[in-house]
Amino acid sequence: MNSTKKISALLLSLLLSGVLLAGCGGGTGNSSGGASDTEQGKNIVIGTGQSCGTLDPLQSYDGWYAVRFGIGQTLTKLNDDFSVSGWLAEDYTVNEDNTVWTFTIRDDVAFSNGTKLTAELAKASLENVYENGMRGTEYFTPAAIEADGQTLVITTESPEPILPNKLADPYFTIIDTTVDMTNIADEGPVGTGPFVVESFDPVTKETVVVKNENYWGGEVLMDRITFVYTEDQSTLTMGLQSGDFDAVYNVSMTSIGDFENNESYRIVRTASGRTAHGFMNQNGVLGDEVLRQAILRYLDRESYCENLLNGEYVAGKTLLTSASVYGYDELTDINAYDPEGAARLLDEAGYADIDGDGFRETPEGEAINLRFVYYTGRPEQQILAEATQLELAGLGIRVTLEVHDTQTVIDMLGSGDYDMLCMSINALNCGDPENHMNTYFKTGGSYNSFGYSSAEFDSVMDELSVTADADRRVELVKEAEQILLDDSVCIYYCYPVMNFVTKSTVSGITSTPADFYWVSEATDVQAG
Amino acid sequence: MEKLKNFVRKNPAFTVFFLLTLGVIAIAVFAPVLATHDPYEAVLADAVQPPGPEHWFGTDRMGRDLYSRVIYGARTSLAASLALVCIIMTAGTLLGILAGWFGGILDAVIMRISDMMISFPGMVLALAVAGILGASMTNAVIAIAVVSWTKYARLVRSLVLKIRERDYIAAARVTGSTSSHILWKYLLPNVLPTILITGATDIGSMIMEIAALSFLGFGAKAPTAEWGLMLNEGRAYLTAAPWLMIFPGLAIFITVVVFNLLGDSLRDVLDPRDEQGNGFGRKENE
Repeated sequence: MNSTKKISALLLSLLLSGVLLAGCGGGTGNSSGGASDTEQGKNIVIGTGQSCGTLDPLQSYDGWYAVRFGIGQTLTKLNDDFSVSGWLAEDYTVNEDNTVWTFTIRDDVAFSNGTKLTAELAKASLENVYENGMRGTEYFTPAAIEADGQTLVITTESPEPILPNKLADPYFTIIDTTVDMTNIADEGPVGTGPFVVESFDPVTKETVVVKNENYWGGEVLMDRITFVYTEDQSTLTMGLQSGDFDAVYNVSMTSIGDFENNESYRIVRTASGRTAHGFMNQNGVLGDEVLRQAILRYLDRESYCENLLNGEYVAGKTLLTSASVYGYDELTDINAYDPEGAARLLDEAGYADIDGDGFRETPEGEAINLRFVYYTGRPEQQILAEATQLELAGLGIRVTLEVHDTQTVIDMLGSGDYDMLCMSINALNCGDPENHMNTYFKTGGSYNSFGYSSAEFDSVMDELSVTADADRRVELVKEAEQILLDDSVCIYYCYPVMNFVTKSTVSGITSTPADFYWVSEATDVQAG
Repeated sequence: MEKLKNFVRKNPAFTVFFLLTLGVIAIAVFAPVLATHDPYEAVLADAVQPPGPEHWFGTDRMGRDLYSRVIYGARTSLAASLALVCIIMTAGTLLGILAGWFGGILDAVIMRISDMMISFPGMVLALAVAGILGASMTNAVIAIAVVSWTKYARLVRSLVLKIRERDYIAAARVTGSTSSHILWKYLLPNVLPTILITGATDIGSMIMEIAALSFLGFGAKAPTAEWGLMLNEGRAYLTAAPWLMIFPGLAIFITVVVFNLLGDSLRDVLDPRDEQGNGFGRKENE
């Protein structure tokens, strides 16, 4: 009896190890779901740690995905040097005081349902933003939008010198609003892009787009693109290595070396307008400026970038990236790295460890435990959160980490449900930081939930919004940045360098400073 | 002394594994002496260093000494799994005795709850419980305890059912012993060896389950030195810095093997009948 048992156990374990080994061999099989050029046409799978909660461009930052997935397009487009040019609008002019902008809509554009894009439909799409969206007025407030044939005239009460930049933001994606939009969150908008949504799973956030047969800009080379979402960085890397993914957005700094100098892969790298922000919620113990100053002075951001992030990031100092013209080298950081000074600040302000647990209490004797909310959809986030926790323990500040998926963290950022929160945000989403600064730092900004309010900052922003002169705009932005630095508002951890790693057979996937142009009609895959 | 020698001569395997187990426990107890560095001190400039004379196992992604963290990890893992086994052993035994001795509605209720528990895959249920409670080491222990006590309850119940009809129990009844006296004096001592063997063999799998929960983010939280969590932290560096996974993985492997072998040899000591393959410890277990 016993020997039968032993033999069957042996057989079973042999079988099991066989199955395990077979699992290791993935990738070589044809079932992997990677690129194929079969009778179903050209398909690729793109892995990404970022995805949207819905396909409705007006929810949160979901509009980014309408553009990233190639579904929607905007009137204007950001270039790699952060300048702007026409896209669905072929041309635009403005009157002398920057209050009346005239856009000429291209005559040859049709939505994916075949409807021709007229100025009237563009107008309806823009008006939809103001009727149903939350953030429209943080970009600009239209006094009137008029349409005549292919001519769209936008009149504003106050001057809007960079209106074309603002209209390049995916929030203003042009969609056909004459169709039934009740299921837009799941089915996606009807846009003018090279792809249309085939399916979107709100749980896994996997999105499948297929060729737009009515695309106005010529033949679309791909038949189908599947966007697979996972915030697990090693899944993304290994998926690319095994062949499950044909391209991966933003491969982690620890893995990108595996793809370098490898003929099978192509890496597209760009500096971006991104800044990894560490928000500090002033509606809590962090309302005390001294505590914020001490934290800022204690964090060795240079070292994070050099030692922990493999030099793939530039150490942060101010809100706007060193890759832009906004004064990275000129501004004065009153909270530059100074660990001894940080501890001294806290000692002097009466933050002391009264109960002997190794962590300081507030001068009123209350325990401090900062809830640090972060996500792992970008590779640097986990490192930044953990490094902050470890370092601040050295200063005697207790930090508890709390990880959620990106969408939840964005929602928490909006609601203010955190003490500290780390988020990588493209501050140059319009090729210009005005909108970003309004949304996040101006009093009443839709994502300014951390209680910062500065009349001085607000007035600089008000002046910026009506200033047309480019040099003056840069000066004003620097002024605003300096106010944020002086008020110790936010941790600027680092400026990420973005990348897209693709198989060498895949072409036409782009990594741009704007970060929302991923695929296009030119995206293609060679049989390999 | 002579007795001890005899015992060792009779049970060489048990002696060896017992000493190894003592060694593992000693590592946990004397962690501060054995560690070369502070396991929580991050020297950012030394991040992800390969193993060398200064850092025997290398350093992790925050520049902490991996050797010291693995040593300290023994404390977390052992304390949690021992606590866990004690909890499920006590709770399971108590409920099993109640169910087996009193029968009736009490038996039905306890056993149906236990049926419900084992009708789910244990780990999935533990994940759900840990997910609801929130990530922490205590919650991970609670979550696994909630799904693991049933095994002991069923085992003890069947033992009790077997024993309660024995003559000596009947004799105790006739002489007027109270239920609690019989349970305490006659049932528990008869049930205990089997339970101890099961408990000892379980320590290894409990270490694994706790490490698994931590690996999945439902157990220990950063910066705790815990093997499962360390494995997870090293995952992103699998190709660049394999030592981040190798050493915590080895630590789990060695500890689990030692405790499993100890459990097996303990059975030989406490329950020699099992050599013929008819020990009830195993039968009820499978």
